Amino acid sequence: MDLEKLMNKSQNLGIDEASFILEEREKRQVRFSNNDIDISKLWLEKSLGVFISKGKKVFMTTIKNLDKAEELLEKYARILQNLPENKDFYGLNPKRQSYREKKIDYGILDLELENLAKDVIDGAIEKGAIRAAGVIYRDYVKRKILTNYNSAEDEVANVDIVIRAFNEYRNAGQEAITTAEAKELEDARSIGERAGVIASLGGEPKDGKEGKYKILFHPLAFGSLISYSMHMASAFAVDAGMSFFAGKIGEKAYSEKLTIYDDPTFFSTGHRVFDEEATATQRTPIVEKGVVRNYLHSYSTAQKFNTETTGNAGIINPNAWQPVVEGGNKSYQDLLSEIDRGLFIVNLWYTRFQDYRNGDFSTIPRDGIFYIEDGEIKESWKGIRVTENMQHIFSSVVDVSKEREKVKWWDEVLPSYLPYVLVDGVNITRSKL
Amino acid sequence: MEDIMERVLNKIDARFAEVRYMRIKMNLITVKNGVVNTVASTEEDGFAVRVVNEGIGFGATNDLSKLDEIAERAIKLAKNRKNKVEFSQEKSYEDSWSVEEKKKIENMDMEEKINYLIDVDKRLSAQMKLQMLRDKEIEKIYMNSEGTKIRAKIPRVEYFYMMGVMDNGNFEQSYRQYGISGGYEIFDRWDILSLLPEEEKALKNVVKAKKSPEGTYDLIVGPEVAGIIAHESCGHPSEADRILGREAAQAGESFINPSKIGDKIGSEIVNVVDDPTVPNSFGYYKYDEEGIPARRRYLYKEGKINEFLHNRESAGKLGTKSNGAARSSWWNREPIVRMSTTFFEPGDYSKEELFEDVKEGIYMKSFTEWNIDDIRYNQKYVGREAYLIKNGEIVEPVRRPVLEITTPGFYGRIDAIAKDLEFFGGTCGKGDPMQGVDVWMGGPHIRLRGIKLR
Repeated sequence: MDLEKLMNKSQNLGIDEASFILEEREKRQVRFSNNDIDISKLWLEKSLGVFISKGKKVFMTTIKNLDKAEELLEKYARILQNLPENKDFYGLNPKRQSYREKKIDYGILDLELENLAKDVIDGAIEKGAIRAAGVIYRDYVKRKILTNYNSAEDEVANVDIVIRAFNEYRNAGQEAITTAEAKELEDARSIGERAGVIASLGGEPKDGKEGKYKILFHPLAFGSLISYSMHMASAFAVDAGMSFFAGKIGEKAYSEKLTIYDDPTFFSTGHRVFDEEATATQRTPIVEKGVVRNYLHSYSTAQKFNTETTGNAGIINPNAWQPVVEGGNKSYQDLLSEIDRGLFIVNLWYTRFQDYRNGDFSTIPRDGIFYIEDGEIKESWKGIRVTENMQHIFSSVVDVSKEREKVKWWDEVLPSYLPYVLVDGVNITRSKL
Repeated sequence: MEDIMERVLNKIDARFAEVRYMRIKMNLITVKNGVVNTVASTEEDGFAVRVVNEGIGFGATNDLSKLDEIAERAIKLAKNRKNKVEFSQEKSYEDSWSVEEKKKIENMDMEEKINYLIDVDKRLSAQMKLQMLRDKEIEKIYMNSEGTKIRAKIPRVEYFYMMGVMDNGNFEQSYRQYGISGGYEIFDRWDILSLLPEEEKALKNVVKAKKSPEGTYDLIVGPEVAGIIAHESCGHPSEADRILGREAAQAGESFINPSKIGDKIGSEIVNVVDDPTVPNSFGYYKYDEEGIPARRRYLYKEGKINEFLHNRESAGKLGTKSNGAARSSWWNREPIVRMSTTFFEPGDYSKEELFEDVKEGIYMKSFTEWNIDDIRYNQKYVGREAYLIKNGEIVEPVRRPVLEITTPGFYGRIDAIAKDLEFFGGTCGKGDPMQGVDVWMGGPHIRLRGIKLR
């Protein structure tokens, strides 16, 4: 598809600014449960993302039938003329961009997903699990962008492996890793082994008890909290009044142990060269040693906030590419040993907020909930809930581990690179009847 | 199109194969704090091929020139299983069905839709206001190697809002979703222009209210709360694919296992059904995505676990027949076990009778934060609009009562169910990749005795 031709046509149609993103994707998936493969899937898809504007009027679409792209553009240009102005739109980024080299490990494309599935299942069983379920994805995308001001190309490939293993008491362990490097999957069996170890560790889980605890969050569990928080770091959420980060730029709001970046320059699954208006992506500090530094911006939201774009378009609604939390100096074993009476939580799910503005939420631990006494695992728990405030969690970070993991999971965990995080005074509740 | 699909289907050598085509026209508008933020319109179509041999292979493309390739590759992908998968044996059907639009989507221009949202916005003074309006016109053709051929046309319209009010540093938020299978008569059914100012008024009362008291109370839940509970702790745990562990690594499993049919789950007056045939319901269908006729399913009946939701894969594993619960959210998704309209059946009491008999209690009319564990046993609902009841009368609004309870704990304490019935729209998330499907959930007012709240 000739994007230049489309751009010329858009200008002839009276469109002021346009961003066209052509994507070609081949995606593969293997899903398994009860130690066997359920389904193997393949997607071959092409799409053209379109953003057009005239003055402050904006319209966006995704064209899936590329043969009809020019015809549809004419239709959408007519719709655009009759739209009201979006007062929050300040144009596409007009500055000339220079881009990093694209980076891809083609070895990812040679991996046999069905064999990976068999390896991780075997690994879990080897370590004492009686059954395992999970999913393996491989995504390969070629992406090309053209705006009135810039053009660029990117090509990415990555693999996600999720395995959830169960012992005879239905106690679960989970690993959910993501990578853009084939060499990291040479020993896929060990991923299954780690899930199997967690599943087997606690024997028969006991009913958990309410109270305030010092909790060591596995990177996967903290990834859930960080992913939700990154949605609220978007300038769109702040502007809408739906963010606990609102009004805190420059403020030492959280623990000095906490540093959060959005870093699409880090080579992993969330690696990207350009955003949706062809701005070169960058590493953006969101929280630095507890101080709120930036929201996530497109050119347009940055204009409204009187700052610079961070290369996170979504033009109307900026989004995070890849959260990264700075590591610390201690091992996670050291952090575990600092717990006199507390918990180690591997995963969280069903995080819901009752108050976006202040950050009140609750979420449910799963896939490894261990009660710790004097730095040792005493037993595994079930049936508890973290009932908390996100700002309290961020303020109560005691320390972070030097080990970090690349995690991504189905329930709102963006591709992230995170340490184990020790948090004090976390409120745990449970059902009363 | 049917000729192309038949040609592809006939070339597939397999125990079972199906080809699905879907075409969707969609319009979306969002308005944030009075500003028209997003106007989007898409037209797309695509094919999915599913092949069953030892295992299941699935391919999807929106490029017609790749249709043969995905079919050939799906055949190869269907070989990757140790234990042979068995779909249930079912009859074949050929039919066409559609949903009538009283006010056609195609006749509603963008300007009229935008003006409606702006009009709603102008009637509100909340500090945070976000509205979304989406319509879809869906055309589907399904055919399989057993001779089933189903054609369908479904229009759907949905309206969603989120709103937040502040008072003296306190903040209260609400959101709600309305949806129908049909056209823009949605705004005749739900008069958003009146409903949202009422909701805002309720929020403004609640934000000033004192925290709901902690202790043991009788509890009356409204239809919105009854609906989410029916969906989360009856509908989801009754999905046979969860029960069999197929969703274990994602949305989880179920506290129910196959041997629990007939076990007591609650009081005898409890009946919860899932019914795709409720006219104009958001998740309405006449045939499911495997060409099986839709019907009402009693999931909990007279307080007992009664029936699971099945597609052909789960029914085959449990040696039964599908009851038409296979749905796929888009052309590029596999059909999996899903809900449609899940609700408590109404009882014999008037709403007033429920209140009359409460000495001290809480009325949780609607909810805000909620969640449930991945076997659907431990759950939490936080009241959004809620009131203190004393001697049968609503006394005052209370802020954020919290119900944390187990599934048998909730259903076992129900002692009266009212005659009223109301439905609310939702988007149910399940599957990997995620499949958000349009659903309704609802029920009447329901009374429970002796519930610990905080």
